[in-house]
Amino acid sequence: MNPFPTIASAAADLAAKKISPVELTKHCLERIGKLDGQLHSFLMVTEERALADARAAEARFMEGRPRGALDGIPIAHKDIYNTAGIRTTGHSRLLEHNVPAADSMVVRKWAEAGTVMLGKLATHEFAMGGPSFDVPWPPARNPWNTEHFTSGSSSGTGAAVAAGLILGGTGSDTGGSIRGPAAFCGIAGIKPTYGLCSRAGVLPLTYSMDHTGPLAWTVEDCAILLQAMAGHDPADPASSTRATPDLLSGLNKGVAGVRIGVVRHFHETDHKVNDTVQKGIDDAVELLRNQGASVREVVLPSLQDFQACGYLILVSEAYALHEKWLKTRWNEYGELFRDRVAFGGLISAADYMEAVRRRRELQEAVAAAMTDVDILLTAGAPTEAPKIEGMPKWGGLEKPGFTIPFNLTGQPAMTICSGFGEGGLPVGIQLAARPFEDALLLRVCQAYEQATPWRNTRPAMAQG
Amino acid sequence: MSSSLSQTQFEALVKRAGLSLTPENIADLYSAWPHIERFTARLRNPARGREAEPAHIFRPLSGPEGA
Repeated sequence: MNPFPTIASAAADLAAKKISPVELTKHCLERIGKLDGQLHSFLMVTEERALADARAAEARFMEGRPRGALDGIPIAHKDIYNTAGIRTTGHSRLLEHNVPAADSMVVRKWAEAGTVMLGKLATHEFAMGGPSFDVPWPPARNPWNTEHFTSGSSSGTGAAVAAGLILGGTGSDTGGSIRGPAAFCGIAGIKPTYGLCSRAGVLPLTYSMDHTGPLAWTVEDCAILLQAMAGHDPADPASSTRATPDLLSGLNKGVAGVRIGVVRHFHETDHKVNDTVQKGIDDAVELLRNQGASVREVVLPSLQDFQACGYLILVSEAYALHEKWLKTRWNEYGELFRDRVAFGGLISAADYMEAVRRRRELQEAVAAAMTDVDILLTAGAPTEAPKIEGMPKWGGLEKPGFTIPFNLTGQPAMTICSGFGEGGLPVGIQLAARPFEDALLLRVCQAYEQATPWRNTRPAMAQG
Repeated sequence: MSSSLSQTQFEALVKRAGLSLTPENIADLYSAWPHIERFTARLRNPARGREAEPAHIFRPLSGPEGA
């Protein structure tokens, strides 16, 4: 068996009966058993459930009634997604024994699509505080070098996908928690348009900025997974009532005629990236231009404006959610989560109101800048992954991140691998489209991905 | 970078929030507070008129705008 099947290749092999769902599931379980002791990407492996799911999928294939591209595909869920009867912890001592009664909507949708659930994946505590060493489970490690950080908070998903333990998984993204791990782990991750995918049954962090979305090895696999997540859910007040778009409709159509705006000041001035990341961006611009896209520079408000606005909204809303426990169970949180969120209790209502007003101004500025471009392009992260030990506690306050602008605007944004730098660690570029133009975003990202060699390399530790 | 608040004033802010923190916790948060002050100042520059109300509105019908 191909040691690193993608969802698309596995679906073809399953349909052709070259492999069976049970064989594919056992292949992943064996890899988890062999490699996850170094990666800590799983908080729980649900082997019995996985084999039961696989046998059910196998029966459907044998009876000639498979459910589609995800039937029999092994996946796992970030441990903030509620799973009925299966522990869901938020990677926190406070929910160490929490067993939900019902699945989250996304878990249910993927199950109905026929996926095989391998288990629950590491996150940062409540999708924010990490990497933490003072919570009940260790942080996930980067398979490209286990001494290095995965980014987060969808850290377990990033590590497990890159190492080929799962074919895809769920993430969530409030300030970059899908796109950060995609950059540092060298995979693909999309934060879809706000409202496209339900958050019902997912532990919240910041209501107005939380997004659910998938991570996978390829853009096509993300599109397949996202298609099965998207759609209106009345249980999520932010859920869009638009008809669910065909998210695979743009794949394999190239970029001819697409207008791309490079937000050069983000990565050259506001937060200067290192040479490897800069080369990835420059090469991507050249490649996309050669393939028929038009490219020009776009100027947006500074990253520092997005950082100030996003951080204050994020911690204010997160504090409101956690206020009771922060007042009564402070010492049960990990240090990073509680200390970062505590600022939300010290910010005034006037500060929060100013942030909300600024958010609308930033949203309008980005929309205005995109009247004659279809896609924005900038960095996914400023460097390769740093070492996981000794990460600065207040680093997120010092330099602005590249991802939070699109949590504030709600538009779809995706990070994909754009090369390898120091020590063979990957780097990533980030692209964003207008709200509800997720299919166009996937189209452009896939065109880039197909024209580059980055999908041909897996982490050395994953080869063993 | 220093804070516009003294550490005593900052401790009063923590107490008002209802958080029971150790002196070490408070000192640690105080060391980072200037970043938060930088953010709150940035939100107010340029200043908006009081009639500028671009975001905080209420819609009597349920459902997100434009959805």
